[in-house]
Amino acid sequence: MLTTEPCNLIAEESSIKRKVKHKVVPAKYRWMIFYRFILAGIGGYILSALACVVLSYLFKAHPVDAVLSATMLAFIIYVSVFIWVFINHSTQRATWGVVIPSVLLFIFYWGLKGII
Amino acid sequence: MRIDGNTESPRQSMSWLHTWASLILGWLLYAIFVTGTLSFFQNEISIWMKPELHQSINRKDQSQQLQSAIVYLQQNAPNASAWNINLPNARSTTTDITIRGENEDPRARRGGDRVILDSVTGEKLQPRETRGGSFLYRFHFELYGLPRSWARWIVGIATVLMFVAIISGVITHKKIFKDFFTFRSGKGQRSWLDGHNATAVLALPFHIMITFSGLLLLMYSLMPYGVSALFPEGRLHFLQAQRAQLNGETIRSVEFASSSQKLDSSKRNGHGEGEKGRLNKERSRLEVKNVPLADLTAMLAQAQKLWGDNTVASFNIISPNRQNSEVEIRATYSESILNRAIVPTLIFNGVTGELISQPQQLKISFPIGIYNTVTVLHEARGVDLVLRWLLFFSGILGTIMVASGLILWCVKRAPQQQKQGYKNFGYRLVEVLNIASISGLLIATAGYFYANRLIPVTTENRSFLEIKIFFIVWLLTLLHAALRPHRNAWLEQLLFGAILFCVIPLLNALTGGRVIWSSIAEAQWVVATFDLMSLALGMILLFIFYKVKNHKVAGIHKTKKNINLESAAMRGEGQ
Repeated sequence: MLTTEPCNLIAEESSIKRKVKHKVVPAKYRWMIFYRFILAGIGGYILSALACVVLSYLFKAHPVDAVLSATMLAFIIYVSVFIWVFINHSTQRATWGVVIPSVLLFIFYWGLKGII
Repeated sequence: MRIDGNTESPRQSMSWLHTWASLILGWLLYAIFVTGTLSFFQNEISIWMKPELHQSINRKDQSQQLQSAIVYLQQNAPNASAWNINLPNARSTTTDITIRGENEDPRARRGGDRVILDSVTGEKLQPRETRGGSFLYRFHFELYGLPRSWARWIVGIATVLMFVAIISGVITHKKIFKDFFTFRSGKGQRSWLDGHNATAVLALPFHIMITFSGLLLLMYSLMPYGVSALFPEGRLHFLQAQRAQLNGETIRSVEFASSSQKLDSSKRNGHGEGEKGRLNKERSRLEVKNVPLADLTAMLAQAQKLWGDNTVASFNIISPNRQNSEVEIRATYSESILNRAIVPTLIFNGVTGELISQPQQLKISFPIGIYNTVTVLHEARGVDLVLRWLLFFSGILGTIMVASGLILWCVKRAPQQQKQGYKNFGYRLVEVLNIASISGLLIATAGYFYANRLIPVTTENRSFLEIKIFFIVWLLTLLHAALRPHRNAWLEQLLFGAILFCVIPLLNALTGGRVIWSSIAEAQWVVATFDLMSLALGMILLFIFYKVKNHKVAGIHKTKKNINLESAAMRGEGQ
């Protein structure tokens, strides 16, 4: 589908692949992939669950609408986190992008709980 | 996600994610898609699998159908606490009755004795023992033989990965709008990739709807935290609040007669203690006397006149033949897709026959509207036959999309495997699982239908036996796929599946069902639809069979351009 790109790029790409093919896949790479799936799957789930609770509390005045909107948004957030984790070249950046919002939401959650 | 760690564009990393997120649970996803797509015709499947019911024809004369049901009920259960009569409709040709015993809650949703009547003669019909379409329906979100919550989680994870695959696929697919309006026909063999893209892009709104709503329908298992945060008493409390909010405005703005208000509030609160208590009190106060039931056909006429095209679906007669009897009449469709399960309802006094309910005004908030719209389409609730076929074909497109994606994984890696002279274990595993899931599941499903017609009616545990045969056939296709050479396995299974599905209308005619020309002539679409659906599936399989058969030839003469196309589209993958 990327036919518009120059053909020499494709040739270059396949030559890289040919080189890579004969090497054994490094364990580090496998662990990185595994780690990212865990980060996206479990980290993303925690982040979206926290977002779901915080949003529900925030709009407590209309409980039914709040819960439904929060839950629908939570699923969208989950998928976005998944994309985020894999679209980043840097594993570290991907990690912080999940951890920092989760911590913030957690603090927010405790704060809201204290008020209510 | 490259092994050499070089930088890559977001599109390349998304292409990698698309491939691997899809492969992990791709086969499960395919099974969910197949059984889910068939579930759009759940009623049709169930009725086809009970040929004893095919004799009943919907003559569309509701007052006659109602009369014959009442005659049966007066003869057989005059003292019941409630009668529920579901008149025939486009998706059911029989009159289905539920009778609640004297001490049962008349408004309960489950329980009661079920009786099926021939809608013309009023004769009681005894269908064979089968799980029917509900087995396939349950399988698509609860699988089989697993604890319910586990299965829902597994399906939920597959759904999330599907969602991820859709989004990453869209990001990868650069020229999505251009491709949508481009149809390159007559340019020789379309590659698997083209097929994958075409099915994905064509039905993209459907794919997004079905995936997102799938998650929403499982929200009480997957994401219950919002509900439990604001409704600590749980899901039921949440649903009650939702209902209360829907009705909220009406209660304040419209003056209700005291009796109907009571009725309304009790309806809203479900059928809990209050309802029972109220009924008991009422009963003891009135010292219920036997009073003949008012004329139901007059009520029917009134409802028909009010609702027009939206035909009368069911009668719920509470305390028939007694002083406190009430008749609840419900329409087939809700007034709008936004309010889902709430269909127009009229309530009559069962003795005097006067209307005691007021038209309801529902207050639908934006989030409830979104939730209802997507889930109602997912469940195809109250959707007529045309839209149902559209959803069915969209489901088939989704199924082909998943299947072609799985095959693409192999096609893409085939040259490398050929070059090295042997097949890697992982590669072979994917090949075998592809065959066993893609064509194997369809053969197993056909096997389930054949078992239904060929196992004698009197066999013990026959519904379990049908399901057992489904799984045995599926296992056999796996063995076959593992033992036969790759190409032969594909061709044989595709052809076998095609024949099985194409012969189903014949099987139907030979084993007691209504023949297809008769079912079409009598407008018994519920039976005809199944036969037509099987033929459609058989034709699709036959078409794919010929495609695969010619594919090898195309593969040898594969142009350089084709290979480039494929490798370019899937570029950025790890391996």
